Amino acid sequence: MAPAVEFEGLTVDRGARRVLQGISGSFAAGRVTGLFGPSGSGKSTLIRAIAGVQMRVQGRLEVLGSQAGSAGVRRQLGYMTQAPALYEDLTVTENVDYFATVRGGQRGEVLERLQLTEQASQLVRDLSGGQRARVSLAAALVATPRLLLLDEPTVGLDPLLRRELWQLFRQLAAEGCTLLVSSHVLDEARHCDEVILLREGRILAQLTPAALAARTGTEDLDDAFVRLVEGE
Amino acid sequence: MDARVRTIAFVYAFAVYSYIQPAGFRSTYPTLADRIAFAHSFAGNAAIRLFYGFPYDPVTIGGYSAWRVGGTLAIAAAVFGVLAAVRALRADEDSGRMELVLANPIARRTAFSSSLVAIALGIALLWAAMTVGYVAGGLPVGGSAYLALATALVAAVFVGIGAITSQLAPTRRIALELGSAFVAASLLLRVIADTAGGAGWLRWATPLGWAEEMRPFTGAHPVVLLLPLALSTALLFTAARIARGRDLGTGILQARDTTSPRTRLLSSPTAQALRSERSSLIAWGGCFAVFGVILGTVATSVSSAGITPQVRRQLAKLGSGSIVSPRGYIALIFIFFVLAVCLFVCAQIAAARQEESEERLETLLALPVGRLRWLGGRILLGAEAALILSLIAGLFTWAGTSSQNVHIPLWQMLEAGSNCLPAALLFLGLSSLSYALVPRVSTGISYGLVMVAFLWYLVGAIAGVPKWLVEATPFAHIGLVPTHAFQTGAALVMVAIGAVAIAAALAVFKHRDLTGA
Repeated sequence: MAPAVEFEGLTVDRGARRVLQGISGSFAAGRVTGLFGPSGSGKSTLIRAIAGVQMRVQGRLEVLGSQAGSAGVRRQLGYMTQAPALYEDLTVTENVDYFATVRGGQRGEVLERLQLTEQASQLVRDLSGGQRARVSLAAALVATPRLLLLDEPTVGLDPLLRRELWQLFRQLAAEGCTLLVSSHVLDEARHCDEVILLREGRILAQLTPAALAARTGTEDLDDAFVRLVEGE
Repeated sequence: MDARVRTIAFVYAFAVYSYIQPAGFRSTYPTLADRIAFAHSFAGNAAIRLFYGFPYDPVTIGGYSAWRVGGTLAIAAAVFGVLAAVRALRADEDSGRMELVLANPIARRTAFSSSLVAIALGIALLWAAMTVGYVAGGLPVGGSAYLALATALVAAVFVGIGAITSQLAPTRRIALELGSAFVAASLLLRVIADTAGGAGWLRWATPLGWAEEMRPFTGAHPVVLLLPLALSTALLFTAARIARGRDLGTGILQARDTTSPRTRLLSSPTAQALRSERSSLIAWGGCFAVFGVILGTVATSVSSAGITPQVRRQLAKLGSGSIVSPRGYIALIFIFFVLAVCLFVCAQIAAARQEESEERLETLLALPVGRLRWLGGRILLGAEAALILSLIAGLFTWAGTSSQNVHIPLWQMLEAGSNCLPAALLFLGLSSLSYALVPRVSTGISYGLVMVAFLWYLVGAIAGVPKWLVEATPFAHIGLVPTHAFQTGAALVMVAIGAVAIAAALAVFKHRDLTGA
């Protein structure tokens, strides 16, 4: 299958700091790719670059066959930032509708899909953290994007909700959507088809969770990461 | 704002005001004949009573002070009371700090009463400030203390009202709005009581009226003191009882937290910006309209009396011409409309910055939303809102003057209003540019630029600074209509600088990284 995202010699500077150090790689369409690494390893910056909102990007970066940030790509993109980017003074439905309109599509069934029908007419400022995360995801999912970029979507959520979300990600991939999901909880790597391990702006490894376990000789993914770093 | 800073600012303003008025009255109207003439020309005017209340004895210095200072400061004291109560009893709760405080071994009752002690101290300071001001202004000590007490007790009553609204309302903002509504209603009752014939009894229905009924310096009625004392105690006692049984972050009145979706004004980022700024624009427009009507209405009476020749000379330096005529007075005051519109456009760019700092902009820009279209839309929105505000200022001031048979043509008042636009475009450009260049500090920079430019003009003109130095500020280049002609050349320069700054802002923003809070 053709890669959904492909990059070569990708370098990003933020301020005086070089956040991504000329990395190359690609990930396949219709799969869940996990982006793992400690805080400050460059996960968010890579996602921002793919989303086309990052400035001072050098190197080649192709998304869905076009250059990142081009108008054609942006129409097919769903992006969820780390902090839920929602309008507190609007209701759940209004928030989702707004993002649907901006993307030029319809609300569809996202509220049902994320079990938000009961909260549909509630103002976002009255929602709990978990509910906000789901609304934020709903806003990214409207108008069926081909590529979903999710920056730490499960952070701070309870285990039950985390599991439900990962099930949803799998389901979306089965429907043909490509997902790039970042997390710093390595345990979540088991839900991915493939993981990219980032450290200090470089790609440490890109492999399947099973290959990661085999290569490091441990089932514990945290241990596996430590061993990879030490073996560098 | 920090509670201490606010208290200090109020104390300072109260002390200065209660000194200036009696001192000024004494020097402006030295003889009894002067004062009687003043009482006839000025104190009998219904428009004046809107602000200051009913003058029982404007011929003596004490009676004049009780009317002019007591009447005005009572309103300020009411505002102080509501602000202090809501800040102390609600703000910490909404920001989550109260949860931390109560998690420590501090009983809820102690937290409540220690807040009240702090506020009581603030009110005592206000009382002392006014007393000192009056005494320094030459009034007897006993009467000064009593007049100051009449005003301070208004603050006490409104602390009680603020305490109650803090318990009733589900959020701090709503508590403040409810409290402000009580201040407005009390003022409205006083205005009706003081201006409408036969409605004097209504004074008993408002805490602001009680302060008048205490009759400082005009045959004191100290027994009236019991009314604010009793009401304030009762309100605080009730608030304390509610506070004990109420969960943090909730109110007796529940917030409207569900509503059916309204998708109007959600069709684009600019439409959404208009939707979220709509209530603020309506509030500004409402204030402009009310202020315009009042300005137009009182222009005749204010300009004809009460201003000493020396002050007139000082004000004439600001370029409005003689302020003894209604036209001159309106021309002078219109500079404040210009200032307000300039501050309004800064607020619009600050709202755009908030969209970025709260990361919503990042999401939008990943979607088919262009950077230029987004920022351009926000700037255009600010410019359109400035246009609407300047029209309102002109139109409603004209309505006010027309009601008083002052004949200033409508087109001329609209021209006076249009003076707001070049300056607003200039500061809109500079705010946008600072937003594009240094987003994190841009809000402070843009407000700072406006205030420095304005104070430069105000202080520079009056203090007799060399002309070329005063002319460094854009405010010095505004032709104050209707006494002066609109300065087309200067306006074009301001618009040109603004346009260049906007273009530069867009060019910089197109390639700059987004930054969080």
